[in-house]
Amino acid sequence: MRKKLKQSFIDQLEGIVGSKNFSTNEIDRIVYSRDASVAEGVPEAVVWPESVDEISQLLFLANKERVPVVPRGAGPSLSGGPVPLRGGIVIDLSRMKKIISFNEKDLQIHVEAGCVITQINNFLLKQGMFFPPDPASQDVCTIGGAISTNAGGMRAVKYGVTDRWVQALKIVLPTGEKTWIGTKTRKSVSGYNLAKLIIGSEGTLAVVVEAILSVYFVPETRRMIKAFFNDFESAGQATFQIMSKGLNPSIMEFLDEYTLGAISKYTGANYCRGKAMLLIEVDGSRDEVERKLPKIEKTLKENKGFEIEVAADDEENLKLYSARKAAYPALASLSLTCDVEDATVPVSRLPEMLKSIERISKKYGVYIGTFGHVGDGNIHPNLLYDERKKNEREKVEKAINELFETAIKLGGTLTGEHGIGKAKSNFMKLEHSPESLQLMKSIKKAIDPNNILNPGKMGLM
Amino acid sequence: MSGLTHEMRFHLKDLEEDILKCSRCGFCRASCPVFEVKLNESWNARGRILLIRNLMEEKIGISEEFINRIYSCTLCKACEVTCPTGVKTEDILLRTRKLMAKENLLPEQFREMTKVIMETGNIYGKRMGLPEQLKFKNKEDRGNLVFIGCVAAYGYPEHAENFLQILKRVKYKFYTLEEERCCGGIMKSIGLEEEFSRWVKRNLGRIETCKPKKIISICPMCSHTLKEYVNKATYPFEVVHEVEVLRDLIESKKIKLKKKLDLKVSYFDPCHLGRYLQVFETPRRILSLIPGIEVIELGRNKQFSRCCGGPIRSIFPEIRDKLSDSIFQDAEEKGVDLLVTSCPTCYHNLYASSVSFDLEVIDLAELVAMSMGIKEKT
Ligand SMILES: Cc1cc2nc3c(=O)[nH]c(=O)nc-3n(C[C@H](O)[C@H](O)[C@H](O)COP(=O)(O)OP(=O)(O)OC[C@H]3O[C@@H](n4cnc5c(N)ncnc54)[C@H](O)[C@@H]3O)c2cc1C
Repeated sequence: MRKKLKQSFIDQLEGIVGSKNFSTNEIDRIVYSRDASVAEGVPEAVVWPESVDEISQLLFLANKERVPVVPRGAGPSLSGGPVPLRGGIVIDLSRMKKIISFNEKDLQIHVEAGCVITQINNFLLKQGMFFPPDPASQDVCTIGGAISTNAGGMRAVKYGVTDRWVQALKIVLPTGEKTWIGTKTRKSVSGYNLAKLIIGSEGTLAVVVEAILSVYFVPETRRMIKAFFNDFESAGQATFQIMSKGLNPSIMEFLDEYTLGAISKYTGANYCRGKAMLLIEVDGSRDEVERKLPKIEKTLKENKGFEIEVAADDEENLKLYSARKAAYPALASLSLTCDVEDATVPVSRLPEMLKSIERISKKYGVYIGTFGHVGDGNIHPNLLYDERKKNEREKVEKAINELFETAIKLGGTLTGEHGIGKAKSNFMKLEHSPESLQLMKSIKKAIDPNNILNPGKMGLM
Repeated sequence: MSGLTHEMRFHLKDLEEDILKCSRCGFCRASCPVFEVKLNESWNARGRILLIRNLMEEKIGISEEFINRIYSCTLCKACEVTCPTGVKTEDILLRTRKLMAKENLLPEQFREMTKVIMETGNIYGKRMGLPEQLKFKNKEDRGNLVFIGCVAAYGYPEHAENFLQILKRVKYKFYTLEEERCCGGIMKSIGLEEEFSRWVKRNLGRIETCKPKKIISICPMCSHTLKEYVNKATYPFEVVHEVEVLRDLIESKKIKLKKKLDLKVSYFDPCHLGRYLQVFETPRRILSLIPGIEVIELGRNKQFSRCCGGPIRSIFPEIRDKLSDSIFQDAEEKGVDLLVTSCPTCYHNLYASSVSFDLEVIDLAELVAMSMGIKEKT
């Protein structure tokens, strides 16, 4: 067990960031003890740095004294990622939120890590551009956090997840050095791809302090289509065919019967039909969209989709988009606790995964509403329960274990976008070989020899 | 630092389900105006709820900092708009404040403010007579009572006068009380439930003796406070806000808006009129009917509107300043000539910020009066 922080250390910390950006008060520490998962851990100090130099000095000091440091963005993490399991310091990057510059010639934007995705998009929209990764938490989550969890969202099916849009990163290493990694060019095979190593590393290798992101033109138009299905196979088949025919939808979402019931109750609109609904969006030039829509409609029909409806205008688009957006609140309103998982499987194995979820739900007697980004095999089973009841907690834990095992058996992965953090740490062995786990540990050791950066996460150390 | 008394422990337990509804997703960070200023989780709705949870679980006690965080919430309800799991933060905070206030664990300024209101009847701390121009005698039973409220009556009598003059001009029958008293809303928000209950009952008792059919209030907080209480206790009158009366009189062509004003304006939604009473369209409808006015919406408007910071101005003046500054910044970015609001408290706070901006704030009724030709354009 590590000893408590020394007063001299605390004084030095305060000296680095200044008293208004520093606290050891219980009140400030307690609120940084949680994220949106069940993980808990109270830090000994919280800092809100305002510059890269401050972070660099802070890490140098913490490394010297072997004090854990946990970077944090907005903390909507569902994995325990930003929770300080071993005390130490939480670095809240929220106050580093400057948009540094916009390069319209190369379509790149240079931002500080604490910028919120919606803040970046509000800026870009004025130039007719957008940053495509759209995690549902985009109104709060920081770009540093999105990079560190390689966040995705509904439109990832067409635009990919965060890593596709990161050009270069300014990082501070656990030992205090600061450096740029990555490139401003569209191509580069110069050396190891260090930026990709840091992306998704959940704050265990470096603190991301600035980023140069590539951005894209807002499409001329967007249209949504919905269809209901009487069985998972048909919905799965339709998804698979739309994806493999190169129709390149910008949204390809699935909602199961249980979720549709919850949305109907929550919004007052009736979505209760069959066993599932697919919600698809195509975007691009008007021509392109008009060409794709009938093909998608046809594919849906061929796969026994019914009540197929193409949104006639922006208002109808919004209605369908809002129905999907209501999925989480609607499910969450049905019980005290709602645990969102994000196991991901190859698209071709989706029907099997969906059926397994139904089976697991029955087996453990746990309500599970499932929706998610089927276009990339990334679904969110939402387990509903009352966290105060021990027997319910235990059943949910068992159900989650089996969900992970099933996803891995189907050639899938533990998490498509939420990250490993603490919650899935123990399951890393299920997915990764001992050799690859060892490789991860060696990388961690090489970069963070004293294991000060976000220790206890990702099944590392 | 105080631990929990038996009574607090007992009643905090009642909050458990509401507190546990918070999934800690932090979506309130996108809407909590105080968080926008502080950028520290403990000044955010999620943080406050987590603090109350920790108190309930007796992991922490009630320190001065705890009191600050609980009392720095403006109860603006913006967090409830972005909360995906429907956490009733305003209610949780009010109930927590009630428990704290009972144990005298509240900021001294608030206790003092309540004392002043009880002694003098208004938040200004001086017994004041109603300005002559606001006195209108009650000539009939079941009439329309204009409840001016203490901020408009004593702080901004010219706003109240504009509204009353409009009513007079169109021969709308109404009367005012002989003395304006605080509606008690502040005591309620502080958590002084007993004091509030007694106060509002006395207020309504006074009102009842003049047998109104309708109470028209100028201040949204009064509207909400009276409405809520009237609904609960089934008093035989309805409560509306002045914008609702103005809208009806304009639409029924009793008020004639003749003068063209040629102004670009943004409307700032007061929390009590907007999120509390869900009156968003009425003021906009009025503005749209004033010739020459172009309304440009603020970046954060309607449900997402910021808060002027009024409820916390006495304990956190620096937060209040930043809150109202950010509303002005928003308006300035929109390139408007004026910021319009329909709440004397919002007006007060925005006015304080207006000195640092090349932009002024105006009360909606004044614009109406200008367009009617009652008041000169300044
Ligand atoms: C309701 C809900 C919906 C969600 N929807 C999605 C979704 O659609 N797609 C998705 O991908 N995720 C989703 N998430 C998960 C989460 O919001 C994302 O992972 C988000 O990107 C986290 O960003 P953040 O800035 O808030 O980081 P935090 O939650 O604060 O931290 C996440 C991880 O990143 C690390 N970190 C944060 N900032 C830095 C930094 N500057 N440098 C180094 N490490 C850092 C932390 O240590 C932690 O390990 C959702 C969460 C909730 C609660």
